[in-house]
Amino acid sequence: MSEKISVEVCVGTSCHLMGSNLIMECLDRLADNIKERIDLRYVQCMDRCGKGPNVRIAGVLLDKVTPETVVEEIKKSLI
Amino acid sequence: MKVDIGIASLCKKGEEVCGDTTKIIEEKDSTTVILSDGLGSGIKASILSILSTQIASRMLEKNIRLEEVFTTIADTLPICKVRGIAYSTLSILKVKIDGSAHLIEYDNPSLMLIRDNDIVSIKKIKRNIAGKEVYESFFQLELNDLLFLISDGVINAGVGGLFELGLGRDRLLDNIFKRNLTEQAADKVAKKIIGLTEACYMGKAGDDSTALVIKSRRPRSAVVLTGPPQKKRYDSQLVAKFLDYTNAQKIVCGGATGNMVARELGFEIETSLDYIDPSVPPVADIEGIDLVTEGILTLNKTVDKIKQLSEDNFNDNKNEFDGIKDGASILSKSLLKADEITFLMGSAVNPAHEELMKSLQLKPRPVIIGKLVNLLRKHGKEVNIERY
Repeated sequence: MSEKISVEVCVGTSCHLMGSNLIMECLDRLADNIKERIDLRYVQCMDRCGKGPNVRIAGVLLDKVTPETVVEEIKKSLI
Repeated sequence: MKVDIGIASLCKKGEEVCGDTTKIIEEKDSTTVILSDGLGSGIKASILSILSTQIASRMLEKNIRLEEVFTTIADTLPICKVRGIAYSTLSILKVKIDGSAHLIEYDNPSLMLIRDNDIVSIKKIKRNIAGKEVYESFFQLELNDLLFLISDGVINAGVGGLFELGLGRDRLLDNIFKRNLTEQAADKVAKKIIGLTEACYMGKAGDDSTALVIKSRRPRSAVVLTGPPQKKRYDSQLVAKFLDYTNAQKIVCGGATGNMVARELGFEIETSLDYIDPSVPPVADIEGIDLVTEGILTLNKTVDKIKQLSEDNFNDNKNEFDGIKDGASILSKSLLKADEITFLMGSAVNPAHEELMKSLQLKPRPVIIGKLVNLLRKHGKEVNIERY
């Protein structure tokens, strides 16, 4: 199997209010073959509170993300 | 010294409400428990015993003399049409923080005290108050003492059935020792005594029965670190102060605060993947810290949760957080379990939070901590707050 990619989702106050819980819901609904290639972690605070929700995919920090952009980025990283 | 209290009750068969009433008044330097058993059973008995406990608790809170309390109760209770009397029993026990206890008993089975697996007898003074024979005792509690206040439904359990004269005090105590109940928590002991009572009645309780169990213990402390200090150069000083509370449960509230503590300790912060309540961000783990939660949202939710506990049934309801794993429920449970709580509150302001707080009408840290402190004080907690 190919190597997993890390996906870190900030669940700090601002990111939560800006929709990080929706991102998590969306990640939970991903197809199993994608899910099993993700190493998912939640992070208490990425210290970029004004730009939330913040997500780090395969080491690349992305700000002001939406569930759609996160899924898109994950798929890109998995190719 | 502090006390844990467990209460369990059983209704007379066919009745929907219990005619026994209990009340707990927790104050900073004392805990008072009241047990009253109303005449008869069902709603009539319940009204009588509720009136007695409410009158007694309100008057005792205002330090009104015992004579007046009993006179007021006797004058206020409605008279039973059938028996032509106004009646309910009353036991009032006040335990101060130094362990000194004051007990007043009127017509309830006598309080039982178990110390080091032995029954301790308490010296009583008989008094005539407002035409009633009242027994008064002053005694000193020791750590791990176990006290029982019970209504006569427990003592009489099984009368004329399983036992000719009912369960009785000696059989009850014997059962407590045989089942090692002295080693168990107050709420479990109370439930087990009522379980035994129900069994003695063979499922058909002949009277309302209540067990109020009190266990003395050392006070429990908690320290809550929330918010980084205004100036970053004080981070290590604040974390060191927090860690100095060696005998307290250590709680961290806040993402940036959690990062600060983890960094100062040189440990990783691991956030749980369980999003149990969508309105409360998940909790995290830092080695050596008992609880790590998000800040503002969890604190706002904690205030709501503690507020929701009905004041009258506060002690019955405070166990409702057992087994619920969202940050606000765990924090509520930890704070309600503690007797002495210190809040170490950093004053750093997160500009990103400020705007969001305003738009969502959430209370900022100093406001919500102030509310939480007042709420906890109202429930008898000794709370200190230090700002950095």
